[in-house]
Amino acid sequence: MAVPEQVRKEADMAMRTQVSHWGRTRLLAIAVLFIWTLIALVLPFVALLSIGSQFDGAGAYTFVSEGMLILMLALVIWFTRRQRGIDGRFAMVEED
Amino acid sequence: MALQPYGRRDNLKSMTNAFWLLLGSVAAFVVVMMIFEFVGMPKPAISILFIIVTLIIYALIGVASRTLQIVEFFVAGRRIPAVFNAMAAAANWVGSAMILGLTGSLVFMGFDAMAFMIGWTGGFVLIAVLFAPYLRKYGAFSVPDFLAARFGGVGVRLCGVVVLLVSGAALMTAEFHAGGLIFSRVFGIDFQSGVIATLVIVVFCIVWGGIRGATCTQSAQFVVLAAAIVLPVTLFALKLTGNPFAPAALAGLLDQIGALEAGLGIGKGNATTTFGELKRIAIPHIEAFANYSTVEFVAISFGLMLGTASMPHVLMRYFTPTSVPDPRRAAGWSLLFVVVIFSFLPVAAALVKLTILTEVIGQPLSGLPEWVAEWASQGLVQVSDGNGNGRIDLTEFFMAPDAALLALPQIGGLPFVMTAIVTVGVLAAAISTASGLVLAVANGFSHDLYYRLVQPSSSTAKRLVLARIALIGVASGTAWLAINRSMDILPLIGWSLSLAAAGNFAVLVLAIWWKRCTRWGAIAGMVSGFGLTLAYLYGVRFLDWQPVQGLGELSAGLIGVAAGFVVAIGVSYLTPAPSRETAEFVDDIRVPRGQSFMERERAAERIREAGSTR
Repeated sequence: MAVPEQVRKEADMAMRTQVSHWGRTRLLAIAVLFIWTLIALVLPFVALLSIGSQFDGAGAYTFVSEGMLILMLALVIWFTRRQRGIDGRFAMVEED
Repeated sequence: MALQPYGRRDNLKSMTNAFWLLLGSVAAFVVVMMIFEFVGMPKPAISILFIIVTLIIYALIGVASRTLQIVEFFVAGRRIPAVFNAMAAAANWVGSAMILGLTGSLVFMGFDAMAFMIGWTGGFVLIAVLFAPYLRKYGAFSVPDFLAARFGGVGVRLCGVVVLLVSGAALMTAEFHAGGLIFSRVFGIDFQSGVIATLVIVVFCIVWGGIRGATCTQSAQFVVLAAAIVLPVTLFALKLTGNPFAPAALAGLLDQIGALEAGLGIGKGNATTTFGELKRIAIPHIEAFANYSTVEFVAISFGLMLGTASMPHVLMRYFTPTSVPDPRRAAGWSLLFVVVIFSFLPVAAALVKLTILTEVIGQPLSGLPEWVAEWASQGLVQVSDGNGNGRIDLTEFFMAPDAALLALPQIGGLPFVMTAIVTVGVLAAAISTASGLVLAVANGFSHDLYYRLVQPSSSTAKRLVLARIALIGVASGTAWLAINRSMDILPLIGWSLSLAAAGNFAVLVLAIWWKRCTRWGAIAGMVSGFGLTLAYLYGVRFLDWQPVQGLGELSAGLIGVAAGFVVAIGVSYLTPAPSRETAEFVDDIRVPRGQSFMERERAAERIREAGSTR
């Protein structure tokens, strides 16, 4: 009777691990989407305020045209690394 | 870049070797052609040689990637290393219509064109976070395949196929049109023949190896495309500013443009700003919201981002990586490669505009640069001294926006080889995007409709024959549409992305991230989202409806996405919850390791077949 009990415990553990892993994954996804919204929505307008002031219009244009692309890229790189960390913490990493 | 039937590290090594060989060959070829130009080879011969050599490379890669295996044809055996998948995805996404349209928009629309750049890059973040690894874990051949497995039944698959066909057809038409223009310009043939030439090249590249062949040729096309943007823009920027890193020169160029614009009074007065399809410089380069309101700008950005993340031919790219976490890396690499190209386009636009303002505006008709007369003879530039003052004023110079990038090397006084490089680069973009789209749509016919719904027992050989016939049929049909099209390229792109977002985005998010979503919820969400957006687009385009809250053709997808979420969630709550098997399916695709769902199904089927034959 010990074997089925052990199997049941292992299955429960695997389920809890999976649930915890998914919870962390979901939180990270929400965080990334929030930052993505800031980059796509807020930053262009912050930059535009300085265009309006004519203090550094060219710099603001450059920030929106080049800087935002780099920020999006940095966000994806950061997300990939964080997600890999989460996968590793819950033993979900698949070796290449 | 032929894939050999061995492990993934060997694939990476062989593809990496082939990549460096290709890069070295392209560099050597460019140097040789520059020498030929120096010794006096005629320009038409240079152009034709460039095009023929690159087309031969694509064709050879396509033939070398031929396969008789279903898994290789539809998902490249899932052995594509992330970086090459990403290169192919970037080439797949950055079409000629996009780069020509974006550069022209940056020249003539000012800051507002940034909405397109934000939209066409931000979508990759959504792919990496929301979709890529989960689609890969399932192991589908297509988006409708995944939806059918998640929700069951025929209805969802049919809805997915309709979204795939309609959104793909619109974008394919734009790319075939662009390819037709380039062939007709270089070879002096009529536009219809140019479209047919594009059709032949696209089919030849992918008919042998399906997505395996497409991945290899698209990786090569990305190299050509990147060279076509980076090299001429770098040389032009170096010539004008002394800065070898073009994106870093942008701020300085903008300052010069700003000073000239202030002196010329750009943005003042009511003189007409268009001459047919040609436009004149009428908006200060960094002025924001001259074309779109704030709401429209934001709506276009978000609409295009959601559309980018929903395009079936883009998502299909993430079925092919070697492992489940690889699609996230592939999406990151894709974004890097897209950023490399897009970061040079604002510089290209600034260089073109600055040169026009200094060498054309205010100059006598007899003192204009050679490129003005050459492009005027093709109807892409219009100059006239309408007021008889002996100079070309701001209101007397018009240019086709799409010509800005193509004419950049000549405007910059660069060697003709650079013009040829830009031409083959734009052609590579047209072919690569068209190839990906044709494959995705042909997949919809042969795999989703015929194999999954009509003849599930058909043999591998028959499926491959049908896939190839579908490929040729889809490409031919789209070529016909391109020849007979009645819409401009930018609206076509808008329709494609809006319909893809409206039909796919909500249901894909809910399929992966909300277990409670039911089959009827998914069908209702797709039908309502897609139907509403299609009706809205049709009304705005053909029935003169007034856009609601500034939602035009580029942002209409937002209506469908919102409707899709609301309806799908509402109907899901009104219908019985999904089964335990469905819940386990969703749990399984959320685990980023192990065999894909489909691989386990196929292995189980093989065991069952082996057992039944004993």
